[in-house]
Amino acid sequence: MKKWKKIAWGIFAIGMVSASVILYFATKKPATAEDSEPIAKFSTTEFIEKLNANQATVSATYMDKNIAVSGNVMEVNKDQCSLVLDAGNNAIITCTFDSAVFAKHAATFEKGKPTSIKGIYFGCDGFEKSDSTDMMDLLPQQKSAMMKTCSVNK
Amino acid sequence: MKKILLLSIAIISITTAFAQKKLYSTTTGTTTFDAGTGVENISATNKSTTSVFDALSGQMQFKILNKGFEFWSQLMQDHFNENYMESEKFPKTMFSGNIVDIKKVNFSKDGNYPVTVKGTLDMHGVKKEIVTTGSLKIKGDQVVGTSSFTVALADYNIVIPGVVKDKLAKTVKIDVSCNYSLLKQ
Repeated sequence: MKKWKKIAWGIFAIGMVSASVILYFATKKPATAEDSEPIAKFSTTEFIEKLNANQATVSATYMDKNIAVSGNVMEVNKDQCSLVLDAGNNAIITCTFDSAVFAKHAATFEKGKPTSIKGIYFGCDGFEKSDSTDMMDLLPQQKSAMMKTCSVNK
Repeated sequence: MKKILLLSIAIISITTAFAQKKLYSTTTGTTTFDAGTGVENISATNKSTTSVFDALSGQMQFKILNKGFEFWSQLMQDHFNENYMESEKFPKTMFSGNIVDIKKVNFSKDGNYPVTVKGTLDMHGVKKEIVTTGSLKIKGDQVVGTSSFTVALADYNIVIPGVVKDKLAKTVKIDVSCNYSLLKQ
């Protein structure tokens, strides 16, 4: 009887641990740049140059990772909680923020002024021939890199 | 000589008229989707929607990087990119079409104008014609474009596994909101 009791408790314990692990992964929030430190820092032009040189290498190294870029603010979009950084030569870096994080730093964002932003890099556009398809001929031929869940890099 | 001159002027005028565009654009539009059935919150937002439209012809285009969609759960985000949208293989969702009733919109008069948009949605490697309604809100040089529509996942070869078929809607509601600025050319 004691043996069965032990087995039952064992199964229960394994069940509880498994349920906890599943619950942990099911409810785990995505990583944000606000909560972590960047693994690399660049100027906006440096980062665009890296993408120009080899987009695949940049993707392999920095995709879904926290990186920081420094450059001049080109646009501040308060309604959309986003910034556009000028990267020179018709290139931009788009940075989107969670509303609370944006509100915290909004006063420091000014068009034309330098800033340093950290964010999760999630892709780019305009660096490959396939990016300019006939279907999208109206869009300005602009090179852009994109970061999300951004924050100010101190 | 006079005829040649007149003909040249006529050709230049026609070419210029056709080449003329009044473009409004944004790189920070918002696209949200809701694929929940009420069992669980399955929604995400992308705040880096690139869009442009021509106020003269009504031509309109959107481009979204799928990896830019933000979910409340990391697991959902991973499933979305790896299993459903296959974001490595199909990194972008695009739309190209026309605001069919653009002539009804008076860009020099502030107001809210309902519009109809018709075009091709290119998602998950499948191109499909869609027609939807929306609105253009004019305020000076700023234009706010909004639209809500639904897409059936099956139409875009997005397969729902049996395990989540009760949680994930077969038809997804998509909301788009863009604050456009006049593009200086």
